[in-house]
Amino acid sequence: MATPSSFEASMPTVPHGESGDFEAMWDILRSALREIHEKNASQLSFEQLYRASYKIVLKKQGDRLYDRVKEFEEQWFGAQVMPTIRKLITNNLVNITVGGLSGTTANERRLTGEEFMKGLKASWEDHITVMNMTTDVLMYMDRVYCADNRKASIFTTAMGLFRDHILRSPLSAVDSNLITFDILNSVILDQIAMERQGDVINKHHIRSCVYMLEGLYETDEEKEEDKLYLTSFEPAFLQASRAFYAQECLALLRDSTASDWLRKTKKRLAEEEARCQTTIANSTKAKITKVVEQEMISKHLSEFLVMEGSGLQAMIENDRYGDLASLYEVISRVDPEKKPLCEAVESRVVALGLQVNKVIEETDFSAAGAEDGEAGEGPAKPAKKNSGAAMTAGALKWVEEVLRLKNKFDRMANDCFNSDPLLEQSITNSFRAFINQFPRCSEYVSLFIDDNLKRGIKGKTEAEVDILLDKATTFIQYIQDKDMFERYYKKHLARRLLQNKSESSEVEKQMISRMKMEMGNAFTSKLEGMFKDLAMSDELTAGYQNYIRNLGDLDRKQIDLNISVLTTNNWPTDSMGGGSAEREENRKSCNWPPEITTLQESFKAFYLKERNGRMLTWLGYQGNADVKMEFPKIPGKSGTRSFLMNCPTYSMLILLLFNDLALDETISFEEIQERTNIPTNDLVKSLYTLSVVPKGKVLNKHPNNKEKPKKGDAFSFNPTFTSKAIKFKAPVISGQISNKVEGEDERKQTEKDNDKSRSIMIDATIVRTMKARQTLSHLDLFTQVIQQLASRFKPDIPMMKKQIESLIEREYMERVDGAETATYRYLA
Amino acid sequence: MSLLSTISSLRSDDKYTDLEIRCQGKVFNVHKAIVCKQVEFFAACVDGNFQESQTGVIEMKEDIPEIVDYYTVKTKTPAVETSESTIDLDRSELLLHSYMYTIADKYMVEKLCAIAAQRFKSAIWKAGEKDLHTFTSVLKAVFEGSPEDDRVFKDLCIAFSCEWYRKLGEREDFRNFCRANGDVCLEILDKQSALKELAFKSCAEAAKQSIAPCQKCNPPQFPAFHFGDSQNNVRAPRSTNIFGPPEGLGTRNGTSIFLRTT
Repeated sequence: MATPSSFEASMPTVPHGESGDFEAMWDILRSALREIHEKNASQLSFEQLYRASYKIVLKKQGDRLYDRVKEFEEQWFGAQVMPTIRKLITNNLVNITVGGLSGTTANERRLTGEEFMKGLKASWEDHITVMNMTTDVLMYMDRVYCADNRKASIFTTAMGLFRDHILRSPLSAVDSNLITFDILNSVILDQIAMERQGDVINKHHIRSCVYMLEGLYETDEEKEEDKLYLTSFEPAFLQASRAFYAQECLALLRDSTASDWLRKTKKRLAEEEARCQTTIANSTKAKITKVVEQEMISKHLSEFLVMEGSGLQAMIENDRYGDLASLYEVISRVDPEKKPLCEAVESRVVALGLQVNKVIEETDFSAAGAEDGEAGEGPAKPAKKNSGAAMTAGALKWVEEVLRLKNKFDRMANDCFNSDPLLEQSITNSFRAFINQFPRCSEYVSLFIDDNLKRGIKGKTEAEVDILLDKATTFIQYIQDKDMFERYYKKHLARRLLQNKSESSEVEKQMISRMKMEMGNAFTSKLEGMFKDLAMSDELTAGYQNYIRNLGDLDRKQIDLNISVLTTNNWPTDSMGGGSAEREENRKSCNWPPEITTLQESFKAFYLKERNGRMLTWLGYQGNADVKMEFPKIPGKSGTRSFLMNCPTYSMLILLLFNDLALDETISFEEIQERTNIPTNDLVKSLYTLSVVPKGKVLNKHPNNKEKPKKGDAFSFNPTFTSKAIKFKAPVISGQISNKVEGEDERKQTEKDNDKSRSIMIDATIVRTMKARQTLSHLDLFTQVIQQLASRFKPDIPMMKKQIESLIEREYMERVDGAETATYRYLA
Repeated sequence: MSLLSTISSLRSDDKYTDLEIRCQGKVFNVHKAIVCKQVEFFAACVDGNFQESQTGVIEMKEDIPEIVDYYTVKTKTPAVETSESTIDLDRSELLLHSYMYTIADKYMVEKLCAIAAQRFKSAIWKAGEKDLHTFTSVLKAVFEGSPEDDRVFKDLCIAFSCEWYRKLGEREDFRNFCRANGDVCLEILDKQSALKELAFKSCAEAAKQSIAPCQKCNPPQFPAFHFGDSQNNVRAPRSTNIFGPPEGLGTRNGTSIFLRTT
């Protein structure tokens, strides 16, 4: 148990005479420091040294201690450390550093470099160990003196001393401005250069030196961005790398292929990344990667892309998917927009697409020429028929070629471009561009769908049909003039529906719903209306038959009626007949025989019972009839010969005329025309099938030749007609029934019709816009209208101007007088 | 046994100790794991490549065994103890705390510094005439054993000296201390005059406003300080911070001291 007096007795005695005291303490510490540096510390009492430094600081001699320790370190560096290091700096190393060539082999250079790094690393590691111990001894000084006086800790200071007295110590051996650091940088860079050439180097030594540079700072404030690694080594490394890669890239450009370049670039990038991890610092990764990207990729990218035989064109044409994938990877690194790649792919797609267009157009040309030679729509002859079929086949081929191209690029986008949205957009854009450069794209696509819905999907699984529909839908999206497409689709669909050519109404509906999804309700409402009409017609037919049965009026000659009531707006009535609108008048007033008229009246009564006020127009050029014909006996054969022929309505009308004629009586072309009032074109066609084509030759033509019927011809019943089947279908003239490519005239007509409906839409859009805005500048109006119509078609500017003029004339709007820019005002 | 109580029980005997601390013939067996984690000095002894790491013995040549005892006990204890029963040093509490502070500062144990300062503060409030015979040792320990800028103990000692300067002046050891440490003596003198002046001013102020000193505001747990001699019972107005907060006070251990008088 301590007593107060014992405390007093054991109170540490602090002698006075501070200076002498200090020297005594310092002597202890100095000799200890020497021992520590010489690695003999194990004989020193730490407590004694701690106590010595504690007392010095307590006696306010901290600054002197601090300075003495610094001084000691400086002397130690000068006397002990630098001489060793200088010995390692051979003349060769100096020569490399100053840029001269060394007379030694790479291997010797590598070995001397390694020795130097090893020596430097050893002195650094010694320094760290020694300073850790010194710091322990001077712990109290750090805590009290350095903290209170805002001085860097003795450790930091000692690190600074190492930087100044070792790394920045001039090489006295040679009279130059070189310092140790220059040698170190050049040695490391030299070693890395060797590694890039394929030599094996000792990464461990470099790493140690890099660690040293990362532990040292420009100033004693030890700011993170002031690391010597960052301020001295890294810039030199990046600069050397830049030079190396610039040269390498030029060599590749000169001597190698784009494919080699891609491989090399990828390899180099991977190497540099690995180097950052194993040899230098990880923090350099982003920077060196950038250097490689700039030098190896960005600088000469366009030159590599156009390289003959191995550039982008060759890659795409030869399906070098590996190269393309590498190229994508490489370009993605330097350009997030991948512009060069996008542009190159785009131009390739367009070039390939235009090639497809050209091939088809050239085929078309010969076919069309043949048709022109035949002078329009004459009766089909074998050669002619073939050319029409060939054109249709050409249309299908075009679509298939484009789809093949699309598949190729889709696969490429998926396999090589990682389904990059930008590239997919480019591909889409370029497809759109060349497809819309092809004037008949709408028609061909619709024909393609028509062909598939009629025949193509036979025997295909649901999944396959799905893929097909997807392709078709994508294709439709590419088409700019959606209205044109709709026109063709309607026409083709109408034929499919009315003639029961469609393979599956299920698939038809799927197609419609797809289009609805992609292009909106407005696009498909009429198409859906067509389906509705047909469903309604089935009900009507059933209802009508029921109605007739209930009338009990069974005594008259029964004609079964299947009726299709078509809403005028939904159906392309003008184009279904294959004729032009000008002949509409004639058609409507074709003369119906009494049997038919009765039937029509009866149906009309039934129909209007529930739907008052509607107008029914009978379309003679549509529909067909089963006509039962009885022929006289042929000697040697038994029974009357009776055949059931399915023929178009017009043919039925003609045949009915012969009921009143004797077997050998004839009737002239003119008389038939007068009595039936069938348009000349249709009459010629119908008579041709009835009197010339052998399969349905129930009439005799006088004169009896194979030319098409014309005025002055006469016709009589053909009593010798025979057919293998009791029930048969009258032969058809191609083009009248099946969907095929339009001829030049037809096409012109279609374009004219389309322009007409476009002008109506433009009118409507202009009026709607003006009504909403009241006044609008010319430019704004155009922008608005174009924007609103974009989903349907791209309005023609002269047409828009024309429509505006006409609207002004009709007083829907007026020009605003005195406005700075042309402006319009809406007139209510 | 929980982990904490296991560790706590380690200090009850010398079993499993792995480090020896010697101080003027006394031997303390301690656990490296415990002392080195708390005191950097011990860690340096054990980890550094010095003699101590080979022998496993630390000689603390110039420290006071009792304090080292107390000190090692403290640092051996994971949870800082609050009772003062470890060593019976009632009669010289001020001295104990000042030595404790010195050693804690020397070996840079900040927590212990704070505890010692806290204890010293409360002890000096209670201190009276009985403490005068050790006070010179306290002054020595405080002024010679802590860094110059560390004013925590120094200001308290100056204030105490001012209160008792007459009695202290009669003591030979105090006079000797003053002879050797003129700067400390000067500090006492300056403080004394400042106090007198302050007391005079506020007294005049109080008389002018005829406000009687308020007894209620004198919190009983803080014993009143008497300035000057005890007969001259001049009181400073309430809530005057005599000591500050003085500049530099408590900057090292984070404690600041406010003495409140009425």
